Amino acid sequence: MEIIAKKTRRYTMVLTVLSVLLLLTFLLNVGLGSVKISLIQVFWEIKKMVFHQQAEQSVYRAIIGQIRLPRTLAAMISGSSLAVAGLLLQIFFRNPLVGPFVLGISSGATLAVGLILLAGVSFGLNTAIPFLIVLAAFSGSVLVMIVVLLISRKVKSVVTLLIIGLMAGYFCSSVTSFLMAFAEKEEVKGFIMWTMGSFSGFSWHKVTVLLLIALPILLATLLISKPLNALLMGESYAISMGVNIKATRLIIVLISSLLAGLVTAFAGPVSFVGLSVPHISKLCFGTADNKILIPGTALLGGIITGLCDLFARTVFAPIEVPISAVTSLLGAPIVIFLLLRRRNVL
Amino acid sequence: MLRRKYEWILMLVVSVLLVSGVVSAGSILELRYTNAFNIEYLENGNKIVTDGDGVDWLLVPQGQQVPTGYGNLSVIYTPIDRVLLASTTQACLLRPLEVLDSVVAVTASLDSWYIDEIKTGLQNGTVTFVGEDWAPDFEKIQEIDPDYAVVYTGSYPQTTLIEKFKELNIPYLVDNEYIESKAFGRMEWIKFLATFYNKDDVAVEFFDSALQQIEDLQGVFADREQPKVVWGSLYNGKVYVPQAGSYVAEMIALAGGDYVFNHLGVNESGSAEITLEEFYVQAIDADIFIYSSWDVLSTDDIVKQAQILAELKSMKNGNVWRYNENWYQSLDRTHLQIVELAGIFHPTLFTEKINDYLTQLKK
Repeated sequence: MEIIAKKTRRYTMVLTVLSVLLLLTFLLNVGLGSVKISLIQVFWEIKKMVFHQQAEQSVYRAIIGQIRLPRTLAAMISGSSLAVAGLLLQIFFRNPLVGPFVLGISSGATLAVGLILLAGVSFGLNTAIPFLIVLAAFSGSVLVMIVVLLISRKVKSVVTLLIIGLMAGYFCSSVTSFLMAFAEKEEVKGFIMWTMGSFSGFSWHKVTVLLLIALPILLATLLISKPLNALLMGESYAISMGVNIKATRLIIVLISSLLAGLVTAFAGPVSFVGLSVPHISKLCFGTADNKILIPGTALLGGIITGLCDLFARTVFAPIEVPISAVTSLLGAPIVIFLLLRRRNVL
Repeated sequence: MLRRKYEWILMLVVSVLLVSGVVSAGSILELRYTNAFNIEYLENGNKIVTDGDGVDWLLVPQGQQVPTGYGNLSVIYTPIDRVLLASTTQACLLRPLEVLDSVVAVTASLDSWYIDEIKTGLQNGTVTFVGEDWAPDFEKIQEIDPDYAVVYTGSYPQTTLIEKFKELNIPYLVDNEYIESKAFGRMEWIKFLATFYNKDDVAVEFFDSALQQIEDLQGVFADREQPKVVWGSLYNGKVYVPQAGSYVAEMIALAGGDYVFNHLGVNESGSAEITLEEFYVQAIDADIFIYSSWDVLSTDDIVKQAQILAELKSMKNGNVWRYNENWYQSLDRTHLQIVELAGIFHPTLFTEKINDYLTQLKK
């Protein structure tokens, strides 16, 4: 009893610390940028925005309200989404090397974007269509997800499904390579930039859509923490506990694919977050209980991606570093450090 | 008082233009090589300009009242100032208009520029580099707060920039000169940018003069045999050559050359990727080889990439040229580039050697 109470206290404490860190990351992201704005000014502007105080539109207000705020929210919610998607699939496949893009989600999105940027499929429109890339990427992800889901109904083994997902990814990557081979240099450059991911230029429209879809899905994952916990002990055990394996499998693939597809659609493929954050989360909490891990992973995903994005946009400003370069650069040493420190097996 | 004086000068300029026939109320500016934008002249120096994205703008000279009846159009008071350029070639078109001092922000860094005015501006701080166009530093842009931005759409649209500009309320003008397949179609966009500075007459005069120069050039080598020209560059074992429908192929023809890939992509602009052997077969007999990059310093650098190219006639005769770094930032000097090419293609006809845009490669 004492042990349980001690553990609960620990989980509560870690969750509280992570929540505070998330808030600090948020403030750091909103407070720091290439344009120097004092912290007092930042708070003042945010206060005016929150309380709808009438004020003349100042440069600082525009920078905070229209550039930093939407971008920070986008980076954080995307990080949470990718991390939770990764966690779900790691549990589902019982494989620590699995990330949110293992089922070909990112490759599907990349292929669809490639069709537009490399093959010039623009539906006859010779202009910049808002949301065209977003829609294409999301359609690509969803299409691959549907194919994987249809196949998942026919196969029993998760390993087979994993291989099918990998093959779907290879197939899409292969077609994308064909498109790149026939594309012009300028087209390839633009496409490669997209594949490296960025939260640059995130508008409130995009953030709103992202929040409206991602937040309910993230909350919904909490509802499947019990069957997920049962799955940790193997499918036979889960069945004996009354878990509907088929339905759970469908829900896990659906949720993780939607989350990963959504982020990829808006920011391009953001690597490493979905793979590394669940590990960091497990090492921080020292538990496999998904009731704790899901919110913890979401918080950590938001913190790490938020910090990585801050690094990406400020360190070499005005030149921005691709977000995937930063997430991998900072994420890999963190995972290694934690593993060595805790001497844990994943 | 100053404003009144300015209005008078403006009215006088417009009246002179109206009398001279360059501009007349109700007329539409004649475009010879492009139809991707439009300029319609109204009364009192007002204009309706359709940009590269088909968006109509009502241009009103500063200090004048907005005319009635155009309520649905966004108004731009001319001449414009404090401009962000999202492409280096846009700056080229502003150079002959002598309005580069209106540029306050660019999306290419100092070492990417070969236009003195912009370089100096970046060095002394009057022009700010705001990051690459795929992920610019929007904070910096907002801080600079340009009055207008010039962007492009087309095949490689600057979607990130455009979407955020809408949110930040930064008006943007779409200049799609890069889509044009005709050499002078690209250059004719000078008329589009000029109209925002009330320099329509300067642009027309400049453009016509450039065309005249090329027209005169045709007479010089009219009855001469055209040398065979091969044009391209190597990258990772692949060869990129301009297609027959590209502006480069047109420039070769205008300079009196016979492009060896005239059969490749007759109606296609841009460049094509071909195999080394395909390139070799066509290039073997070419008299002149223009290497379309500046990443080689000698013919040996080309041979290092593809040994077989040492066998080309042009390589053996030392008739190999490469781009100078300013090649792409000389859009406003297309006619001069053609004249330089003509000098290379017909050296006996041109005594004066110009090496402004191309450099002959030695071993």
